Amino acid sequence: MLSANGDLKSEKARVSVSLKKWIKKDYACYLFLLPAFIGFFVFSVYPMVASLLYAFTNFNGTKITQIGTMNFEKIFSSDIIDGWSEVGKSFGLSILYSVISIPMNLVLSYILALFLYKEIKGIRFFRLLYYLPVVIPGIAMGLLWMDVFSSESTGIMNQIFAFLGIPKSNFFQSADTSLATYISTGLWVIGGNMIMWLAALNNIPPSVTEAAKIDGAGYFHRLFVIVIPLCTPILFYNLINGIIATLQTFDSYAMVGAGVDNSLYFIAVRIYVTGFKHMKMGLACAEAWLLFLMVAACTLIMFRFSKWVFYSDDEN
Amino acid sequence: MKKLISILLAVMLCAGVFAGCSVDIGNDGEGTGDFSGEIDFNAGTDYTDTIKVWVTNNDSELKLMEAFVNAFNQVYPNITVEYQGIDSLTDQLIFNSGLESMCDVFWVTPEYISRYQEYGLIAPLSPIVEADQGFDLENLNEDCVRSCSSDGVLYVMPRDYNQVVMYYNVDMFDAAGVAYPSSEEAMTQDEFVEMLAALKEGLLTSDETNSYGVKYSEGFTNSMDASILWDSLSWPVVKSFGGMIFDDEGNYLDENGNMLFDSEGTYEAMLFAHDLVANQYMGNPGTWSTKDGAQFLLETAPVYLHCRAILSSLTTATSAYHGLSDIGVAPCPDFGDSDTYYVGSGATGYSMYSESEHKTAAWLFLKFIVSERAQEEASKTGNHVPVIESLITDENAEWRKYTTSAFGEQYSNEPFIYRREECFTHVRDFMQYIDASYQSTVFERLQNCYTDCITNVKSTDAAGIETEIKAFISKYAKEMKNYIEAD
Repeated sequence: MLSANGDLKSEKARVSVSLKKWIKKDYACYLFLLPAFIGFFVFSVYPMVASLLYAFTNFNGTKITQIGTMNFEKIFSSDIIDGWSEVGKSFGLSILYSVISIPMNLVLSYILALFLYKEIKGIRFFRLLYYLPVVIPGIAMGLLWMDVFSSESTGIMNQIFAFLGIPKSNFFQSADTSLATYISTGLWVIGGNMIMWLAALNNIPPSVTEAAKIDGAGYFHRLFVIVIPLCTPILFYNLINGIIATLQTFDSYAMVGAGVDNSLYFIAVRIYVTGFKHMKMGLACAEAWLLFLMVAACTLIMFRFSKWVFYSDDEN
Repeated sequence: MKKLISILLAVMLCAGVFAGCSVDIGNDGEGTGDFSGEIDFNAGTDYTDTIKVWVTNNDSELKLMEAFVNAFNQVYPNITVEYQGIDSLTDQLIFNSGLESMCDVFWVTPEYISRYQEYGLIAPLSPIVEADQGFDLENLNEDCVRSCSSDGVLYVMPRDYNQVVMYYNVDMFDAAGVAYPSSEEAMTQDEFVEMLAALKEGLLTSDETNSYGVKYSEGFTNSMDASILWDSLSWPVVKSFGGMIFDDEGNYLDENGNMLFDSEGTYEAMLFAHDLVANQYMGNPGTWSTKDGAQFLLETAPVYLHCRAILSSLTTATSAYHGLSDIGVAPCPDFGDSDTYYVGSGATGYSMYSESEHKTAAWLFLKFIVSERAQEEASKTGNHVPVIESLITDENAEWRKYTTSAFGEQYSNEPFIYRREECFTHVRDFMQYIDASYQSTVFERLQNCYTDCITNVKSTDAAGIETEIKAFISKYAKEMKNYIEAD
């Protein structure tokens, strides 16, 4: 027993000395890492844990009077307000938005990248030009879109329509056109994906495409058999990022709130409205956790079925 | 992967164990407490303390608070009042609740009473008023006190009295060759629409220019600058036409189970708003709602519907506007064709934070706000009609003495209190019956109804317009019902 205690003490002392040495040696490194760690715990870990706890309360922003699973029961109830008929619609709308906008953005940004990949004079200027909209803050862009897609005849897009002889549209002011209008605003920022595609295209060894060319492979054959497969890691990355971003889309709220007839009542918008307008923070946290589970599930499924992604040997 | 799925399943199983469980851990404490025991009613003018007061962050609010604090410190020199203009006041009140940084007194508009009750932020003042032997509310305007109360309990100390009036640009009326509206009698709806039509016609053919050097005929935007979505217009207009959301007994359904909102009265109100915009008498709320007052100040619209609280901003030159040189005031028109006269009216005021540790000083300050001295000082800012009945009617009260070079022969103080005994209309008329969580959402449905009836009616023939407007009203009535009936 004594010997065991003695061993334990000496082991503890050994660990303590090595820990001190470790810290002494790399203290500068840890010091620089500290702000990031603090930020991560204060602004990510703590809110996540707190929101999970709040999801099981009726927290309204200032006080809690009830604890239980009532928020989840409410979400999956048949209630007209805040029940599944409404929450499910918001989830459905977010999924619909993802299903349409992700492939569209991926394809268009890829086509754009193929054009801008060519090394011709002044190409860097065009790359910059297409990337610039990405750096405009979402709120500022929202206000710009409101002017562009104004339902008035004086709206910029309606003036273009009038010039082209196309009838005036209500854009965000009509439930029929608001989702399509909102999706079209996403095209403005395809420069973000485009930059990733350009990086992927740059990583393709020219010798591979040259060899294929010598073997008589045409442009489209090389594109579909060599270029696109070699770009799949970036495609996968863009896909995952796209799913996470589109399922959490919220920019529309700054422009038109939940939209005419709730046509833009995405789940992230609903979470905000439930928490900050209806003062049901607990319910909003429950909805947020459902969204998190959905995003996590989508991401896991994507990884599970990612055998189509081609990694070269060194990447493996 | 398997590990992750196992963890997820385990979490879901744990959650399943607790499914259906819920525990009440306290009452909902909707501000029903009696805090009079925390107040020293014998505190004299030598009482020493410091209180923090938060108001919404705009110039006129800060100016008013400055007037109140200066007057207060002349009576209570040892009470320091630290006042501050706060952006997003409601959010800040919530975030700071329970913290040392929280204020003791804060500015409140009555439509927020239920929300603040729900948050437990607001101390009921009625028990304090009852316990304070030397104070009563009898000399205050009854309607203001009522609108600052919930279920008969006062939560906000009313600060002023406001009702919507019709401001007009005398020069533009002259340029259009249109007679000035009377300051003693409200126009009927027909007279009002006729005036708007004449203004439009007159200004579009006028050769005169405004103070910005723009010809009236070229700068003309609308005959009237008014945001129909503003609660002081949207609700009174519906009510004037006989529309309602709740009746006086708190019912929202008629004997057939239909929403009271889905009525001929609401239709008449929506049609009225639709026609005003269609004829260019009023701006489209979708376009102009965030630019309220800009048309009037830029002298592109000759009429403006608003209240006394913004008076000085109409006459004072800023970097953006010249300020009007000759302003006229008339009572708000009598909308609808019934005998009733409903005008957006109300009071804003100040409330005590329920957990304030300086309740005695806070109460002394709130009491002082409704004293004659404080009311007279506030009136000197120009944007204030007193909440004390005797001052409202007193010919020599300070609020009547306020004047600027922009007040010509057509300026009158009477429209600010015109038929005030009967016109008082406030969104709390219906909000008081709705769960605090959904009050603003129901009001939004009213706003959306206006927007749709003005913007999204496609028909041009009378029958088609009627069908579309009625369809919008039915749609929003149904949505209102869902929220009214929600848990």
